[in-house]
Amino acid sequence: MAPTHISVKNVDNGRDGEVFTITYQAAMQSGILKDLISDFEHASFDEAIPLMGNISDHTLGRIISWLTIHSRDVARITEQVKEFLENPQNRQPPTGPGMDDDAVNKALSSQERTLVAEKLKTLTPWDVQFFEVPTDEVFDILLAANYLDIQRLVDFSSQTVANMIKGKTTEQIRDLFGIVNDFTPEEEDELRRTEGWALPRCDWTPEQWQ
Amino acid sequence: MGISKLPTEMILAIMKYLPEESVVIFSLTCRNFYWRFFSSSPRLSRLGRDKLLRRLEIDWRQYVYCDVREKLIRWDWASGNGDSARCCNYHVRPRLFGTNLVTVRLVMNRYFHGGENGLPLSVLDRDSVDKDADTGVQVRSSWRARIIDHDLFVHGTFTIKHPAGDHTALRRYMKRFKRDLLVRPHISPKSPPLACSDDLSHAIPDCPDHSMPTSTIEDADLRCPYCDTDYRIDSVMPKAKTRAATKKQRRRCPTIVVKKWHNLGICRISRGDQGAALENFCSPVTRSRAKMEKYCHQWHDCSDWPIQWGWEHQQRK
Repeated sequence: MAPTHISVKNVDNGRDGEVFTITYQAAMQSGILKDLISDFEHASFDEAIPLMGNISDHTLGRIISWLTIHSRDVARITEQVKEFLENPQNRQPPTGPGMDDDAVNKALSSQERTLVAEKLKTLTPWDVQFFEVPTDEVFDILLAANYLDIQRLVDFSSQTVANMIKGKTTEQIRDLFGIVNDFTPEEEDELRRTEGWALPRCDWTPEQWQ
Repeated sequence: MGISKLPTEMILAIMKYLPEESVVIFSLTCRNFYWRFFSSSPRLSRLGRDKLLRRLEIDWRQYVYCDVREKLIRWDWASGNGDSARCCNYHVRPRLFGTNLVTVRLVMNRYFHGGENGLPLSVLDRDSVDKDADTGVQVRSSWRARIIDHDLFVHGTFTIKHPAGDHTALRRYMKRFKRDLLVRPHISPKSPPLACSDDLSHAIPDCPDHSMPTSTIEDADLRCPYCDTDYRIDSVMPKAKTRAATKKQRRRCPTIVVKKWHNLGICRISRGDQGAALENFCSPVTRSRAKMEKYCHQWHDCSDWPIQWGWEHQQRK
C-alpha cells in the first residue's frame, strides 16, 4: 500500500543534509522520487530516502514547496476543463445531435487533453512569485528540477529565464547574467560579415546602394 | 552558478521559449555561445531580422540600421557619415528640411537608449539667412528640435521680408513658399477640412492687425495625426510715425512670420511602443503612407460638416 507521506534526506556533496517530508502525491511528480519510492517499496518507509543530487538544502526545500503546491494541479485543471466543456458552445469542433456518441467522446477527450496540457504549461501568479529570486537561484532550481526529472518545473524555470532574455540586447544579457564578452574586435567584425546577414555585401554596386 | 555553466540541453530548453531574434542575440553574447548556438539558430523571418538588427544597432555603436536595405550601415562618428552617406535613406524627403534620416535616427537612438547611442537633439537646430535670387526676398529661418511623447518634432520660424519693401515680390515669393513648407489648414473634428490653398499670398494682409488663426501643438488631441497642420502665420507691420506713412507702409512692407511645428516621425499616435513613430518615418514606401492617405481621405469626405475654419471664413467675408 502506498504511504501518505515520504521522508527525503538530502545528501549534498557526501554530507547528510536536511530531511524533508512530502506527500506521496506530490512526490510522484518527480521521476527520480517515483523510481526511488518504487525501489524502496519493500521497506517500511520509516527511514528517509537518501537523495544524492548535490542539491543544496535551500533549493530542495523550495522544490518540495513547489511540488506540494502543484500536487493536485492535474486533477484540479482536468475538473475545470471538464466543467468548461460541459457547455457545448465551448467545444471545438462543436458537437451536434447528428454525431454518434463515439465521435463526440473522441472529440471531447482530444480537446480536453489539449486544454489540460495547455493549462499545465501556463505559469500561474504563484509561480511567477516563486521565481522572483536571484538569477543564480533560478538556475539552481532548473538544474535540480532536471536532476529530479520534474518536467513541468524545468519548463517553468526555462520560461522564466527566457522571459528575462526576451527583448534585451546582447549587452543587457551580458550584464544580467555576468557573461564576459570575449570576442576580439576582429572576430566581431568577422561575424557581422558572415554571409552578409548584418552588413551590406562588399560587392554592392552604387545602384544597389541607391 | 552562472548561465555559462548550464549544460547544453538546459540552454536549449530555455531557447525553446525565445523568439527567433532573441536566440541569435543570445548566441552573440560570447564566443562559447556563438560556437554552440549561432550556426544552429533558426533562419530568421524578415520581421525577426528587422528586430534583431534594430537591437544590434544599440550594441554596435558604429552602425546605424537602414530599414530599406535591412542592413546595418557603418557610421563614422568622427566624420559624421561613414557608409551611411551612400545609403538610400541618407538623402531623403524634402520634408526633412535639410536633415537626413540617419541623423534623425541617431537623435532618437540617443533619446531611447542613452547618450552613447546617438546624437544630441541640438544637431537638428539650425539658423540661416537666405536671399531668394528671383524675388530678392530675405528669409531668416530657425529650426529647433524637441521630443514630445517619444516623438521628434522640429519647430521652424521663418521671418520673411523684402528689404526694399516690395509688396509684389513678397506676394510672388509667398506663392512659392507653401511648396517648400507644407502648410495646410488644420484638420480636426471641430474644424472641418477645407481644400488647401495653392499659395500663401493671402497671408500678406491688407489690415495690419490681421493675423492668421493659430493651431498650435497643444491641440494635439484634435489634430489629424497624419497631416502637417500645426502652424501660425503673423504679419508684422513696421511702426509708423505719421498716419500717412502708416497707410503707405501697410501696403508696402509687412514682414511675414511663419511658425510651424513639423513632426519628423509623421505620426505621433501613442501605440505604447517606443520608437513606433520613428519606424514609420523610416520606411519611405510604407504602410503608414497608405494609412495616411486613407485617413486623410476619410477626413476630407466629411463635406457636410459646418464651416468653422476661422481663417477661411474671414477670407470669404
